[in-house]
Order: sequence, then structure tokens, then C-alpha cells
Amino acid sequence: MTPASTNASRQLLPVVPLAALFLAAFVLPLAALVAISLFRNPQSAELSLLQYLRFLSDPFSIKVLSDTLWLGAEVALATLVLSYPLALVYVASGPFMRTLITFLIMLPLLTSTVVRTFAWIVILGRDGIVNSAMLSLGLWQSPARLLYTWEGMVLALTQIQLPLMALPVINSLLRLDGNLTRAAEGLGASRVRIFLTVVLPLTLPGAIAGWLLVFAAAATAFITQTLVGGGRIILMPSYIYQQAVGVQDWPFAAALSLIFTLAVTGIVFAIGALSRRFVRGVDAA
Amino acid sequence: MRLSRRSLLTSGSAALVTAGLGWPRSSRAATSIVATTYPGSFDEAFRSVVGPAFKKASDSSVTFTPLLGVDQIGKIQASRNAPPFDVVLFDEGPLIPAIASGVLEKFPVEQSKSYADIPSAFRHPDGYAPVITCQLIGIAYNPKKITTPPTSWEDLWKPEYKGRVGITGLGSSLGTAFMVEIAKLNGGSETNIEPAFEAIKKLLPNVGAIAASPGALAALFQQGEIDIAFNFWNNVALLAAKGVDIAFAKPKSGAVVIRTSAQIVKNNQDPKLVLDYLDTVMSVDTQKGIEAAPWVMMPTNAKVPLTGANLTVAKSVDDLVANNVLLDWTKFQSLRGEWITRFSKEVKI
Repeated sequence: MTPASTNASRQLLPVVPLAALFLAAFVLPLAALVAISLFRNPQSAELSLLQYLRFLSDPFSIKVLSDTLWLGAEVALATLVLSYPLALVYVASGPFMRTLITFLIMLPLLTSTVVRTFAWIVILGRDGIVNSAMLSLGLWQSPARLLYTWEGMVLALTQIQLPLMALPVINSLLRLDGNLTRAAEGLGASRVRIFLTVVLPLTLPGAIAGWLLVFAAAATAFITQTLVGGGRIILMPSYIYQQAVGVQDWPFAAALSLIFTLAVTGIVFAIGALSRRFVRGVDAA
Repeated sequence: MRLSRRSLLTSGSAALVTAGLGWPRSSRAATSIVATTYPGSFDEAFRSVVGPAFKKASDSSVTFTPLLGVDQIGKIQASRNAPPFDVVLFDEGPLIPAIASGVLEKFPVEQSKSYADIPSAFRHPDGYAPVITCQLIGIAYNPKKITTPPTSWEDLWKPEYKGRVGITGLGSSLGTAFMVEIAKLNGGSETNIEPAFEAIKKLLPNVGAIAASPGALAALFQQGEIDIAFNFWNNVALLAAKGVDIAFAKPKSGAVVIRTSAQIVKNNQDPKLVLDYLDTVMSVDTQKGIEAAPWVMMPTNAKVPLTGANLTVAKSVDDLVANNVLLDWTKFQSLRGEWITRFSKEVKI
């Protein structure tokens, strides 16, 4: 062995445990999932693409997938809209306020998802805080249904996933060169114009990173979807659970899992690639 | 010492229990088995009553693992030679595929001490372990909001309950039994579910929430989301004991009985101990324990008299069998998968 190759293998040595773990805990189960999804039915191991054809020919399954992806997109958009004002306040604040805002943003991350979700059940329920307040103020005649609705689910997920968006947006705002906004201001641009033409384009990488994180997290949030959405809203995570555990149709559940994984990662990669091109364009300009 | 996943699991949990409860080491049991329970009231009752009774009867310990019936089959199949449990709990529906998958062992009738006390309706026709408790399905309602107690399943369709009825899908024994019973009452049968789907569509204006599971359905009463729903008797009784505004009405066509059995897993670690455990669960003393408040689980040992709240739904174990509805799950268990998916597609509010 040449000294160079010995050196290379010595450098690779520490990677081996990690690679083995990755292979055992990720690649092998994923390969098993692919294999199971190719079974014709739960009883026999005869191979076919039947499960994928079943999905493609079933409008219900396609609607469940599109609803789930749409939920992710909606929540990501809502967190984005909330994050900018929050980030602008943060940047404009002094050290004490910054610490306080950071603490408030981090607080939900330090609480379990189940606890945060149950808090939303208490807030949105028929006898919950919102309904009681509205009824006692005489604004509503009867309690509104807020829990087990699409809007309730988007609201709860937006609060739960907000830190994933707020932190990258704040980070990119902090790195924004203050001279640029001051120059725009000096040249007479309005605040809205400065935000739209200077701040937003230059902080876009952070916003996109946050958008992708929230999108993936909200689309796959089994606990919140099940508890706040209830049994009437069927989304991919609960659909996969139902097919695997309730119906015991593992091949179809495996196919659903792979389709869902591909759809989410596909969107994440596509938006990532698009944004890189777009952001490069901004840099050049 | 042979280190298997199971021995690690049991010794691990035993160590945790010992550390947590501060048991003196000398009294720690020499041997131990693992049994499943259902999450919630079942688990609480088994830990409080069955665990201590087994320890007293055999000087051995049992580790309880709360799991849903359907989750158990997969876990045993994944490790047939060293299954993670020795005794598993099944409702009569999921028991059918579990038997078919070949992971269960028959019950050694001639060696059992308690078997003679179990009525024939609770013995398995093919020789598997007998039923240890029943869950009764009737109408749960909020007595503060519904002052006239409901008397039949048809009451759920009454227009005054608009937006106040709760239902759950066919993923559980609860939802499945309700749908089959509704089908039967509307001219269908255990294999013809069509009339139930038609009836449930007419029920939709009344439906306030579709719960993801029976547990979630019970929780909806606590949150005030619903005022009336089909539900399990012992869940209702436990909630009522905890001060929730909930009462139980037995429909005039009879409550639907779900028979739950504890089954022996093949390749279990100690067949003698497993039989001791089953005998303990079926024994008069243990059954009296789980029958008493706050558990109010239905006993299946004919020598156990019904007391307290249980007397409001049946006079005795024999009366329970004679005057309520027993479904033949072998006829429709294979159709359930299709029904579950159909329910998700068609039942929307």
C-alpha cells in the first residue's frame, strides 16, 4: 500500500461507524419498504406495480396527497407572513428585547408537540377560550366549530412550526448590510419599497430555508394533524397509519409512504434548486 | 446468561420498576413474563389488580405493555422465535387474523384451574384461550344536556341532536360493531353493511365530530364537543367515576358485547408461568377485583356476582350473555379492511 492510500484509508476510518449506522438504520429499512411496496397483495410476495397503479387510479388517494402538500404550503406561507414583522421588530430592538424575543420564539421548541397540540384543543374547543370569550361578549350566538376544522389545523400548525421559520429569517435579516437600507432611505424610497426591493430579495435565502423546513414539518405532522384535525380530515400520515395498522395492507401503506416521501423531498429539492438560480440572479444584479 | 432483546427488555423494565418503587431486592420475583394490555383503563386495571394477584399466586412478576390489538400481531411476526410478549390481548375481531397468522398457541384446557367456571359463550370453539372480559357497547350521553335518557340506537338520528353526536371509524372494534349492528337493524346483515352506510349518511347532519379512536371519542365528552355517542361501558363508567358528565344507556335491542381474550404466544419464555397468569386473570378473586369500582370491567367467570354500576347493565354474567348482542366476527373480519377505507372516503362532515 502506498503512503497516500494508507493516509486516505486512515482518514476514512472514522466514517465507517457512521456509514454502518446509516446503512442499517436508513438504507436497509428503506429498501425493505420499496420491496414491500412491490408485493401484489399482503398475502403473497408476488412482485408487481399494482400498489402504485392503485394509488394513481384512485381520486381519493390523490386528493389526500394534494391536501397534505397544500396544508404544508399553507402553513409555511402563514409562518412566513408572521415571521417578517417579528424579525423586523427583533432587529430594531435593544439587547433586552432581543433576548426576550429569542426566548419567546424558542419556548415552543422546548415544549413537547403533544403538549402544544393539547393547548390548542383547549383554546379551540366548543367550551374553549375563544368560544367562551366570543359568547360572553355577545359576538357569537352559539359556539363556532373551530376544532376539527382545516382552519383550526392550519392555525395550530402555524404556531407550532413558527420557530422553524422565524429563526432563519431573523438570521438573514441580521446579516443584511444596514448601509443598503440607509442608502435606499437617503434616496427617498418609502418603507414599503425598501422592504420589497432591498430587504425581501436579500433575505430570501433565509426565508426559503425556513419555508422548506416548515413545509416538510407541517405536511408530516402526524400528532397535530390527528388531534386538531380529528378523524374527519384524512391526510397522508394518518392514511398510511390506517392502511398499515387498521387495514393491515402493508404493501399499499409502503407504496403510500414512498409516494409521500418522494413528493415532499421532490418539492423541497425543486424549490431549493429554483431558489439557488433566483438568488444567484439577485446577487448578479 | 443468554442476552436476547426480550431478556434485556424485561430485566430493563424490572430494574426501572425496582428503582422507581424502591422494592427491597430480596422480594424481587425470580421469574417474569411480559403481557400486553390496552392503553387507558384496561392498563390501569391490570396494573392495579392482575399484577399484584399474579405476584401473590405464583411469586413471579408480570411486565405490562399497553398496545392496541392490531399493533401486537406485527410485533410478534417480526420476531417469531423470540416474541416480545408472552401473553397478548385481543378483541374477537383482530383475534381471527392473529390465529390465522400462526403466532398463537392453543389453551391447555385440562391443566387449567379456572376454565370450568367460564360459560360456553366465552370459550373458544377452536381451543384457544377463553374470554377474560367483555366490553359492552351502548349509548353514552351527557345527562346534563340530554335529560331524557336515550332508549334505542335510532335516538342518535333524532333532529334535536343536530351537531351533537360523535362517531368513530371502523378501525376499532367499537366503530365496526356499531356499523354491523346498525346494518342488522336496518335490514342488512353481518356481511351486508350497505344499510349501515346509508343510515350513517342520514346521521351526518347530527354528527359534531368524527373521532380518530375510541379514546378520542370519550375525550370529546370531556371537552364538551359532543353530547351523545356510541361507546364502551367501562370507559363511560371510568369517566363518570372521575366526575365527567357522562352516563350510559343500554339500547332496547341490547348492548353489543365485544369478547376480549388473553392469548398464549408461541415460543413464550415460560409456558407454566403463562398458564398461571391466565388462571390468575380468570380466577374469581381477580375477576371480582376488576369488576369492582372504579374499573367496572365485565367479568366472564360465572361465579363472580355483578355489583354496583355493572348491575345497571346486566343482572349476572349469564344474563349478560343471554340478553345482549353477540356478533359473529368470523363472517365479516375479512371485509373490515375494505369497510375502513370506504368509511374514510364516504363519511365526511
